Amino acid sequence: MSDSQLEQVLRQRQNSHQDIVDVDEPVIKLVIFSLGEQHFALAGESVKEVLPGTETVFFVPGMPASVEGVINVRGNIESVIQLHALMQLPNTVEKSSLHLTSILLARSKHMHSGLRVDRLLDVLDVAQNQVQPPPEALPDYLKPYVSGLLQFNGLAVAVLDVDALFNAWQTGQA
Amino acid sequence: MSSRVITYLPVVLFRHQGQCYAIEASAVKKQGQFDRLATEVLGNFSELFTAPLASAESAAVQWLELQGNAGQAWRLGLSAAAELIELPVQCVYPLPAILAALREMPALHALALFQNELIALLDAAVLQQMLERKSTECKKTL
Repeated sequence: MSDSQLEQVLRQRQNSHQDIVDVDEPVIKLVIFSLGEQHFALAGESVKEVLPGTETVFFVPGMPASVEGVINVRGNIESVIQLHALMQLPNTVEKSSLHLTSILLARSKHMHSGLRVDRLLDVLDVAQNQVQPPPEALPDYLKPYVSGLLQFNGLAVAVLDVDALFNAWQTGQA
Repeated sequence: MSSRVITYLPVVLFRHQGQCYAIEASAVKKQGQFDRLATEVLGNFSELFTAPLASAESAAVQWLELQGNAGQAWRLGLSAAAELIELPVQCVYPLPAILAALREMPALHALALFQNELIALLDAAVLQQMLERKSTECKKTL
């Protein structure tokens, strides 16, 4: 007995269901920012808060130049560190342009600190597969800190590993 | 045994190059005016900074006598007057972990934000060790 057309259609529909590819790509939130002419990102889950760059920073003596000082965040203090030295970029932030900068309150598994960035560009959700592995041509000094590369508005954005950043500071590599 | 709740921390505050530093008052035994000919100090606070200072900025004008690690008192020369103040405990913060890892001055122990100014709270025992080391290094180079 041959199948009715209806049976064939149902079978066809069932098979087509099996062929459906899950297009719900996992997405990650990224906080994209610039340091000088370079563009970087941190995973959104590692950035607790973004503060304006004009927050009063209290200088702490006896610290390396990369440490700006501490800020008062709702009755608690938080350190503020500049990423420039670690990324081997000149620090061109002047007092007059502080209003253009931001302080990202970043946290790793064991540490947290404010990170001064020159410009906060965007906070967006991107499909995980848009983040490519870091290229071989990446400068050696960036390799320990870059976990991926993303194209954003025609710009190459290096995704930073916040644990690696804090680890470098903690172990005195930076 | 119930412990008393501390609301104020007495500290001896002094300035150096525009920055505020303080040592817990319980570690300070005496203070006095520095006499270049008569006062013997383990070292001047300014010696702990690598940046060279004009002699007028680094010259000691006062001394603090502190309780030493081995029970013996030692004297610290200061280039500015020191004063006793009481810090409300809610102004005192432990050094953030990342700053503890990065500090170049091991005696830096905690921070206080008081009257819109940052005060670096120093550990007198570590300060003594730093000055002793400095003094030994100086003797070696001589």
